[in-house]
Amino acid sequence: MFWVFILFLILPYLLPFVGGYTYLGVEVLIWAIFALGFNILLGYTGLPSFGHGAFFGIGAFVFGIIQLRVIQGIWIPILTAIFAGAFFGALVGLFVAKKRGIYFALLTIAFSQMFWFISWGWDKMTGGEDGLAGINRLSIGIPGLFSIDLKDILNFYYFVYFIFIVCTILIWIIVHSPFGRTLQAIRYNETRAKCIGYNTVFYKWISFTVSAAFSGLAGSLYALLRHAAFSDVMHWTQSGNVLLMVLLGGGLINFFGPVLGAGVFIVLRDLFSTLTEHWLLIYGLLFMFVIIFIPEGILSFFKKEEGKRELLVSRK
Amino acid sequence: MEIIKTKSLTKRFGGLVAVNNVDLNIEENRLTSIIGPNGAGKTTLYNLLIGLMKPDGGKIYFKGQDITGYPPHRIIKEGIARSFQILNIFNELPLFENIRIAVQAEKGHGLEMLSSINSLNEVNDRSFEIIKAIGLDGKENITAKNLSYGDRRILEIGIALASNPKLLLLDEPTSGLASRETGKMSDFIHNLAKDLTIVVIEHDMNVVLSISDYIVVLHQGKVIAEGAPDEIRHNDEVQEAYLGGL
Repeated sequence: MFWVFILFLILPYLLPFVGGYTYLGVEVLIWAIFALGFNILLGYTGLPSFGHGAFFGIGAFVFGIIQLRVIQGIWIPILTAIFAGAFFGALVGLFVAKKRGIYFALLTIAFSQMFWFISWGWDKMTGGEDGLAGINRLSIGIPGLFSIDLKDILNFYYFVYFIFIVCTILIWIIVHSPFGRTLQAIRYNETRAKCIGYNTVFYKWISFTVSAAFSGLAGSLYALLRHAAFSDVMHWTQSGNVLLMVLLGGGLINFFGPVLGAGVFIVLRDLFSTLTEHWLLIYGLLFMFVIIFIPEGILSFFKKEEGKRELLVSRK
Repeated sequence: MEIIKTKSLTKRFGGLVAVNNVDLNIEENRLTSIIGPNGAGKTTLYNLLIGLMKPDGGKIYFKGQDITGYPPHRIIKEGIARSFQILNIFNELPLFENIRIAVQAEKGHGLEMLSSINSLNEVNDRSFEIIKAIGLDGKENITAKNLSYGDRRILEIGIALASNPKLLLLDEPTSGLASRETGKMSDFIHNLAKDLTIVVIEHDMNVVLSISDYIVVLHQGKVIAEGAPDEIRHNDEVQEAYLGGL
């Protein structure tokens, strides 16, 4: 974990060497938060949601609506966005937690399309086609003591970096907690998990809600980054992107897979889109290659014993 | 006194009546075997008792309390646990975690999100205790799928024991075992029965006759006979069900 934090600490100074820029670094961090939270559901609970883009989008819109209409600031809109992600996650979770496999996937798509449609059509609230513009990266700090200007992209990078660290530690604790172990037991063998006393539907619902809360948080940061919230952030393709990041990096076998996946995904997109306007084609081929030849993701090259090692015990 | 009792319990799959009006009385502190030919409805009966399936009719009482239609996680809490005929363990997890996850459920720690596994001393201690009791100590770190088949059969029961049940339902515990291992398994079950009410579904008549206090015979979804091993051995109807009336 330490090395990941160090890497991102110096990343803004490394990016120029590979043709990147700080904005790209922020994007990687935001998607890394999104993907790490999403992986609680996909990698640890084994539920393939194709609808978390909706909670990401809800986070972005709620942030914008609160900041533009209710209260000027950063922290309260962010907290509201987290809460909104969790709330709508819980709501959708009520309907999908009982479903499995393809039915679960399809139902999550349906819900996310519904949210996307609402964001598109509800002009008064979301700005409809135009989106919500004018979101401000206001300064944070303690009045009279210090103040950090988030308009500066480097400052903003470290602001997101700070949130990334908090989230990573929190998610690490969650997946290694008794609760996290229960989720994994459900993924490996749901029938047996039921028969040793777990209300598996309830656990899956909690997992769905928690991951949606992180989606909401990431969405609010994304709105800050772009100074705006548009309907496209809740489009189903966003749900597909986060899923691909997790699979690409190796989230199913390694805690940090989603972070690597987010990095590779964002950087390659940037690279290819400057080379050709048909970058999606190259992208698609690349993913087919990964899924066919390294189905467990990039990190599977480096030994997958991590997951097992942490489960080993020694008698005191 | 009976620990579990069913009244006209019925389960249909389309036109097939898998469990047909079964009135079952399982006495406490006794080892009861349920026998019957393939398709007699034995496993379906277990699925009903543990809540994995809902009955189409009838009632289930556990210690006098109506538990009909309870979901599995509530039935476990009441004190019934089962093992499976087809191994149903956490293959990808180490032996220790297989037991620990069940103990964790029993002790009610499953929802703790911000604490560490290592801080759950009572869970860890109890897990080591159970592993020792089932004779698999020293193998805690072996991934379950890499254990020998005999050890996995024991683990299958160990996971059920970790729920600390008052009533243990075993589904063909000797299925697939070589004869030497079968002997070990019946000794193991016999030992468990000293302080636990056990019901066993079993095909091996030698095992059944040697370990049972009481035998219930199911045939085509109905109870056709019950009694002490000696009575069952000489029952004509049982002979017919098993041997086609020879």
